[in-house]
Amino acid sequence: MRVLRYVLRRLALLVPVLLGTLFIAFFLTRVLPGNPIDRVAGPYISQEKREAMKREARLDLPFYQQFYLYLADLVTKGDMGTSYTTAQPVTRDLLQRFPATLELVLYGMGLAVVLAIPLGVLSALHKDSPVDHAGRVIAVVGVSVPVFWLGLVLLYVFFLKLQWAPPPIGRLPPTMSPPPHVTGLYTLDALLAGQWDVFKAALSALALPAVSLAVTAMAPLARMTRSAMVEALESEYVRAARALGLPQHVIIWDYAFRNAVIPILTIFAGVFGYALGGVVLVEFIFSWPGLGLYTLNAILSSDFPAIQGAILLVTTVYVFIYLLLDLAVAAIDPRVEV
Amino acid sequence: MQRAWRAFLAGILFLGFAAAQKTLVVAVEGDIDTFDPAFSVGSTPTQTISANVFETLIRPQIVERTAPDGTVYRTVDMEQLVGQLAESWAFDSSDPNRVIFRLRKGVRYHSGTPFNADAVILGMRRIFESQSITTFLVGMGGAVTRADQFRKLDDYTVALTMKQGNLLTLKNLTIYNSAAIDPADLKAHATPEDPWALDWFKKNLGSGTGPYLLESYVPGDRIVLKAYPNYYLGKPKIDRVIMKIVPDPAQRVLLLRTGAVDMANQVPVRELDALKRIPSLRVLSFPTTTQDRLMMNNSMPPFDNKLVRKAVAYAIPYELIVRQVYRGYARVSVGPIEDGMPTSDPTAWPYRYDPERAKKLLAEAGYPEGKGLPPIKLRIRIGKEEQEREAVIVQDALSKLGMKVTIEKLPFATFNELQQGGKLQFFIDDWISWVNDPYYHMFWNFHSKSPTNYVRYSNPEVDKLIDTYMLSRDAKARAEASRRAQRLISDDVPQVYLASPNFNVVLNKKVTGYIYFNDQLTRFFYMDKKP
Repeated sequence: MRVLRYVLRRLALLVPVLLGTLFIAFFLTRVLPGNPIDRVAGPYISQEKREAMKREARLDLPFYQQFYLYLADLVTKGDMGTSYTTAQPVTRDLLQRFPATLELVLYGMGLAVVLAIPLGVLSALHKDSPVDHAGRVIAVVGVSVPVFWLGLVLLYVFFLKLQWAPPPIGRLPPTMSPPPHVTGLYTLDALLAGQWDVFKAALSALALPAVSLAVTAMAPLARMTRSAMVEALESEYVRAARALGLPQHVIIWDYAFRNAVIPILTIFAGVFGYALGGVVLVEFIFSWPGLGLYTLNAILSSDFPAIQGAILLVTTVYVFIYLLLDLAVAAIDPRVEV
Repeated sequence: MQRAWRAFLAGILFLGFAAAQKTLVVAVEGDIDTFDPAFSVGSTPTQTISANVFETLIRPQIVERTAPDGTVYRTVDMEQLVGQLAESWAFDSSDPNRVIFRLRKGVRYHSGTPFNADAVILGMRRIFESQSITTFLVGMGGAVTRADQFRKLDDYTVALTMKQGNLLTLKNLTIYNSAAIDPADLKAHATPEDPWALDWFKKNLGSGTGPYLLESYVPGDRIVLKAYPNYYLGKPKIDRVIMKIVPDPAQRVLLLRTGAVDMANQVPVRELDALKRIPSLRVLSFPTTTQDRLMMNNSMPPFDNKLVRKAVAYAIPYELIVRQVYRGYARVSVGPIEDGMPTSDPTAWPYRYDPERAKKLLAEAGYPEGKGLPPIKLRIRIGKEEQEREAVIVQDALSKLGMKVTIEKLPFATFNELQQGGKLQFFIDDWISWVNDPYYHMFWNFHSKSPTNYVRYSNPEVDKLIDTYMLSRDAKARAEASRRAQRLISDDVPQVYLASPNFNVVLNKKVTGYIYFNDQLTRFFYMDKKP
């Protein structure tokens, strides 16, 4: 019951956060030069027609009035407006693109966790040994290698030379139709529909972009795991556990790791949010029809409704991730109360 | 045993089917921004769809030309207009301002609706009453300003009465923006607030009469067209066209190299030589009338001074740009009207690379060695690789005169707004006149009343020549006036032409039949793919 009330309170906090970010997005797009009309109007039309189009799009109104009208449409009709770069309602565009990005980020982050945590734990257990040094090198490389460069190198090696990976042509080969839409995550939808060939194709299309994301994301995770584990392993309670003669795996996982997991989770939430925003370069290289590319195009074309919609969505996801993080911390650590 | 045979037979059938189905995979650079042919201006994939799904009454004739290197290619000649949805057209013998279109019989839209004079008239009403792009094109010189200038004479005959009988208006009517849409779509989706169903046509691809129709569309990912089996000129040879969105030019190259796609354009010029060496690929490079232009705002200092503009025109190393930026896939420009456009006169444009002369002119203008010049910002659009490199060459060339130029890259929405408002002082852009006619080109670029006269050039004499001869049918007088205007414009140098880049398409060798259209959009109907 208390947890529920906490969740509700946190969700209520979402409203001012969203209003604030939306306001900033609104303000910045309107203050900077560039408007979406010139693109859809083209060069040939008369000035009068151009002005008429601006009026129709309410772009002639003062900024605060535009903001109010947008909010009114959003709250009463759930309408985020129509994108100028795709001619479709922004809500529909976001529902279309977000699963593509989410699937990529989930696989990337999953892979990062699977690689980073054992690496961090191993480094901590064998502190200052060759294993630790190797882990440090991997982490430094992961942090310093730009994700697009890594993507290009992976493509060169695994697609062009070894021909293990499929071409960077998006989520599926062009001749293959997407699975029936349930979640929008192609691997999951393909499984639900029992389409094994689609599942395999979607999974192999995910491989290189997910690895690119994972390598850059695993570095901070591995380092945090290592330092948190080192601290935990040197603590009094681990010494006490050792003295009691508890088995090694119990000491590592039930005592040390459980105490180290909170900073790791915190870093993970940050990395996850960062990946959602930073996925755009990976999407560009792999022709991935996701949210990042959509937002990039929207920004370049001053597509106001699309920019606002994307910012709203990403902010919401971010807030939810941190909510989940806080709940997870409360569940793990009995000292934390919600 | 029997089961094995059955599987074998099924396999044969499947293979036969697969061979019969010809699929073309094309890597395109961006997504659809509207499905309405009357309003599509921005994205090339949108325009390509319009040009393959919808059709106009008339089109330019397809002709063979020989490239400078001796290869023969197919392109179009706008001086010869032939029927498309109209079987034939002719000026009325009793009224020189009237054109009669005789429509093709038995044509049906993809939906089954018959095509006839009523469909043409309704389409034209939609175009004029909703003020679509076509209004401004066929409205040039005031030739056609109202839909009722189109009249139905009988079910298969339409007459167009112009203010003055001329060819430019007809050339403008070949642009896909005036394509015939399906009256059934219009009736089904019109609402009291939106009588021309603008909203529906923006979001949905209507039915057309053209060789292709939409099979599926995954936004941001792919657009799939399929052949219209009942097309009146016969079923297209390619059954399916998959336009796959690949935003990164480097990946388009990679996909071509590995055979994952059959065709791509907008390939970086620096990759073309390498692609030529790949046995499975063919690189087609067509000379065009496109111009990369160094634009100087004629109403802003220091470029309001003609001598400064002349100094700039003599300072640019044109050959170097063709060689280094375009690696030979471009030509040195010949002047305001490019080689390949009728009445082009290379003798009118005297500017060659001559830095000494440029220095002298700049001193004459009152800025010896650049002293006293206001700050100059050269603006370019983000993401135009070749223009970025041109900007650096321009900056370097002008610094030798003592002109200090800073380069600023702008996102295209910002750039467009400033350009449209005439607020850019110094910038690089590119232009191709889709209608290959000197007066079309001169009106949009040099007439003081044109919305696309981005450098705010104004010369009353040039205006007058354009106004007088734009709609003239006297070919000789029109050509003479064009040459006179070219001399005037050349003397004023409102813009400088950095290069005339080729249009490059990279194809798999199995793909044949590509035709270069002036609008640079691919028509899949003429193409084939060998197994």
